[in-house]
This record gives sequence, C-alpha cells and structure tokens, in this order.
Amino acid sequence: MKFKIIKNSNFKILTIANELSILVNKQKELNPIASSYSFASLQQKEVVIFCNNNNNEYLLFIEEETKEAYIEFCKLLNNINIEDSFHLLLIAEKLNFNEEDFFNLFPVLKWQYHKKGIYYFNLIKEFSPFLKMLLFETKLSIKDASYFYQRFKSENYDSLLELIPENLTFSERNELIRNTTDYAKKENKNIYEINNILKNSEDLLKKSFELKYPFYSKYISIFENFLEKLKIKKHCKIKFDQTFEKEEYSMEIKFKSMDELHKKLISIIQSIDEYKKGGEDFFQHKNLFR
Amino acid sequence: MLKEFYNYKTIFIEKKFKNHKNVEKILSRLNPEETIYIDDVKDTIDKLNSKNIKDNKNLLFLGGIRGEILQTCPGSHGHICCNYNVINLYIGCPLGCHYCILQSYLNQPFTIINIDIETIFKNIEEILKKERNKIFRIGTGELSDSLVFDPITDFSVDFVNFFKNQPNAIFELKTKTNFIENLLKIEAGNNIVIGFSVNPEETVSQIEGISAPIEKRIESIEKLIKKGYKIALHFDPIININNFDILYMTLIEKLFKVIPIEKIAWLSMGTLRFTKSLKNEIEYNYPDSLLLSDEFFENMDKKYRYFKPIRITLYQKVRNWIKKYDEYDKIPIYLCMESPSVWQEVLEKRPESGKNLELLFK
Repeated sequence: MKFKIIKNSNFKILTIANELSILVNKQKELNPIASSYSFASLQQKEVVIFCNNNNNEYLLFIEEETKEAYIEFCKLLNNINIEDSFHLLLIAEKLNFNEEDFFNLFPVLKWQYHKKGIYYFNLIKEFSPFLKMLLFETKLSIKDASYFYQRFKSENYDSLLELIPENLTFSERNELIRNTTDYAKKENKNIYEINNILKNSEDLLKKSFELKYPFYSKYISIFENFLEKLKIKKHCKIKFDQTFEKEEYSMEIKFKSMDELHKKLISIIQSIDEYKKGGEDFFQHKNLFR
Repeated sequence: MLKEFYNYKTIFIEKKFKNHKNVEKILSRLNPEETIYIDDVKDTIDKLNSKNIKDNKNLLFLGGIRGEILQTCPGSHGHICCNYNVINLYIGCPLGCHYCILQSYLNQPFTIINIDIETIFKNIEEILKKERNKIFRIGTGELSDSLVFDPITDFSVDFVNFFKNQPNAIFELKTKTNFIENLLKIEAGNNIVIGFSVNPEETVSQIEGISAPIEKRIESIEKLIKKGYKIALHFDPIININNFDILYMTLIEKLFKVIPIEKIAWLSMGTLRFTKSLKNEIEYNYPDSLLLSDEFFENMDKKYRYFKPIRITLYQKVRNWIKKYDEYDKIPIYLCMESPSVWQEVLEKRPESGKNLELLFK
C-alpha cells in the first residue's frame, strides 16, 4: 500500500457523506479500475479523496487543490445518472464551488452547461420529493419538470402529479405536464382548478391536449366528423397534413383487381354524391376554418 | 452615455483598426473599464467561448466585417421570402426583446461593431454596379437593431449618404428605438426607408426590453416624415394577446393618425414564430412568459407558428383595420415567412416566387 501524494499529514478525517458513500459503493461494481474509494471531509471546506485502486495505491488529493481534486474524482465515476449528478453537485456546493468551478464540473457530470446548468441545479433543489422522484426515475424530463415547477411552485403541485397515470410513457407524461402548464399559464388557472378539470377525465393526456389546443381540437373534430359522414373510409384512406398547413389531400385505395378498384371508386363517388346533397365541403379550408 | 444600452466593461479592438476614426469616436463616447487590442475578433471570441464566458454581455468588439458583405436574408423553407439583403454591420443587440431570435441564433453573447464601413461601401458599390437592372432591398437590421448603436457610431449618416447615391438600391434602417437624431441632421433620399417594428404598448412594455415605448416610436416617425423620409411599418411579431382587438385597433389608429399612407414604403406582417432552440432560450430567460403557451405547431421549416386558422384570423383583423385608412390598397403589404395559402387567404394574392414579390417594392 502506498500513497501517491501527501502534502499534509495533520488531517482529521470526519464521517463520509452518506449520499457519496452510496455513490462510491455503486461505483465499486461499475468501475473496474478503482476497486474502492473513500471520501472524507476534513473541515467544512476541505476534502480528501482516497482512491484505492487495484494496485493498492492511494491517491490523495489535498486541501489546496480541493476543487480540482473533486472534479478529478468525479471523472473517475462511470455511468452516473441524473440523481448521481445532482448529488455530486450538492457536494460541490458544500465545497464552496463558485460559478466557474461549476462550469468546469458540468461537462464531467454530463450536466447542462453554463448558467443553465446552475439554473436547473437550483430549481431541482427546490422540487418537492415527489417531483424529484419523478425526475430521478426518468419519468419526467428536467426541462418539463422545471417548466411545470416554475408555474406551480407556490402551490401544492404534487396533487396534480399524483393524477398522472402510471402507464404513460416518458414522452406522454412530459406532454401531459407541458399541456396542463401551458393551459394554466394561458388561462391563469391554479392547481386546484386544473385538478378539478382533469380528475374526472378518462383520458388525461387527450384532455390535456384539448385544453392546450382548443381551436385545433375543435377543427379536427369537425373534420373527422365530416370524414365519417362522407362514408368513404371503408373504401380508402384519406391522408392529410395533421396541422392543416397544407391544403392538399391524398387518397390511398387498396385493391387486388381492376374490378375491385372499379367497385371501390364507384362506391366512393356515390358516397360523395350522396353527401353533396346537403353536406358542406370541409376539405376546403375556407369552409373548415369558418 | 445611455448606460443601459452600452454598459461595456471591456472593449476589444482589432489592432489594425487602432487608429481608425470610428474606433476613436466610439471610445470617446463610452467609458469601458479596459480596452484590449487583439489580432482578430473571431479568434478572441473562440478563446473566450472555450473559457465558458458564455453569458457575458458586457464585452464589445470593434473589428472589420468578415465573410460576404451582402447576404441574402435566410428566409424559410416552404414559405415565401421577400428577397431582402442584409449587411451585418452590428452583431448582437442590447434591447432584450423576449421573442428575439438572436437568443438562440448567435453562438456568442458579445456585441460586435464592424467599424470598417469604407470596405463595406466599396464592396456594395461593386455589387450594385454589376446588376444595375436589378433592385436590391438592403437592410442592416438582421443581427441587431439598425439604430440602437447609432448614438455611439453615427453610422446612419454614412449609410444614408452612401445609399442615396445608389440608383438600384432601396436601403432600410429597421428599429425599435427612437435614436433618429442623426437622421434628422441629414437630407433624406427617395430610396431610404426607416422601418419601425410596432406592437401595442402593453406588449412593448412587457416583452420588448429597453426598446422605445410605442409613443416615442410614433413621435420619431412623425419627425422623420416631416424631414422627408419614407417609412416602413413592421407588424412583426403579431402576438395573440388578451384584448387583441382593442389593443391592435388602438395601435393602428395611433399610427395612421400621423402617417399619411403615401409615406409608407411598405408594411409587413408576421405572427410570432420560433425554433425549438429559441423556445428553450425563452423558457430559460423568461420562465414566466406567456408567449409560448398558445396553440403552436411545428411547420415544415422547423419553426413553430400559431395554428393556421389563428394566424389567418390575426392577419385578417390587422389587415382590415389598416384597410380603414387604406381604402384603395395603396400600401404595399407583405407577409413575412408565410405560406402561399395564408397569403391567399389574407391578401387575396399568392406570389409564387420572390420575383413576383419584388414587384411589390418597385
């Protein structure tokens, strides 16, 4: 056993921070280079990192280089997730990292760079345990969780998060959160009012979409209703730009013979003729968007 | 001088321009903590960027223009472009409008003033001479506000005097400021247009940073018209705000009370649009902003716009309120970065190419 660097032998080693020891233990399994680490805080600002690698060699980073040592230590960690990164940032904060130190640490932790990194770090610190959990379990993105939090931070927002069905995918959950946040911002609604709207809905994602996109929901419903009334869907598929930016439509007909094609075309024409007797042409945007 | 606009701690100056008259003038009007002479603006910015000085807006660079001097406005895929040419005289803007594309477009936060305007004029003159039959619409308001630095550069004087003598150019200075003192000191030219971006005062005061209140812009328009300048009005971005009708109607009434329609060179309309990266920047810079919470969809040019019927309604309303003052459609109106079908719905015409659009400006 040998020490590589020792500059000060008067260290008084204190307890290893709990969250870091969890990380270190996890790394033992993940990182074959370093078989064990220990991390000790001497006094409030000082840090010593012992890395006991496979050669039974201890690397000792000492007081004068605390911040650099910590960044070097972080570089040794593999496969860290967002929760690990967050905890490592919390420790960095305790080590009095300034803005520039954080900027140097962010790339190591694969964290958002520059001031945005600080912004997200500070926001997450304020998150409720439940919102943190959703973020750390990758059920919400950092961007959408932050967007949601910024709007509802002064309210009991967990009540809305608890409504989110477990079976939603990551992107669906983010979409739901974003839609409801946008709706609350636009219509100036609080969590209580949003909860009341959402709680009786069978399809929360769909409901949130309708709240965020009321005009679109109205027009797509008119259009789909129109397609139903046209009665051509069983013979063909109408393809259209879902946001109605483009004015053109196309039609896909599946057939196996000329007779079948002929039959389907006749049926389509008959359906259109029948519809035209009293129905309006909602293929034309000027009618649809009236 | 105007500390809120020009609060530069450090000014970097390219050595070859150390004794340039424009550098001397700018330095005499600012009070930086330090001036540093450098070999090259780009190299220095690259070095600063690598040192993570991403958010420092207090650095000013004075240097020569790089790359192509006259560039075509980037336009937008699938949307009609108005064939605008831009000179990137200034890069960076201190106004701080919440919706500004520069938040995501520029890869550095610093301000650059291209002080070597003699080279700009020499190059532009050559370009214009080569195609005398073509009309060039040229502006400097792409990567900054055209007049925001005028109190420290006086460049408007040089540019107006230069372009007045260019028969196949129409030159526009586009602004949200009221920094028009220099323009009032010189004679206007027939081919010089001063463009003002306009929005209801509620929008201006809430989300257009330190740009001039709309009343100040209107006062400036009035003075410029008296001096003989032509005016352009840019209803851009039109934002779907609460009380849209009354606020935009009031704005239009105020504008047309002082602007005779024959003094309007052109009028543009464009609704709020943004890229994904701008969306991220707005959310970060202005977390309480209501700008993005409306019904936006991503279009084929990867820009988010209001759902089409919302856009059409907003345009039609503005168009109709303007029409009250422009009964015979004398004002050349165009839509900025809009699809042919929206043009058709709003303006009852569909320029299929930029060439057709050029006719608007003749």
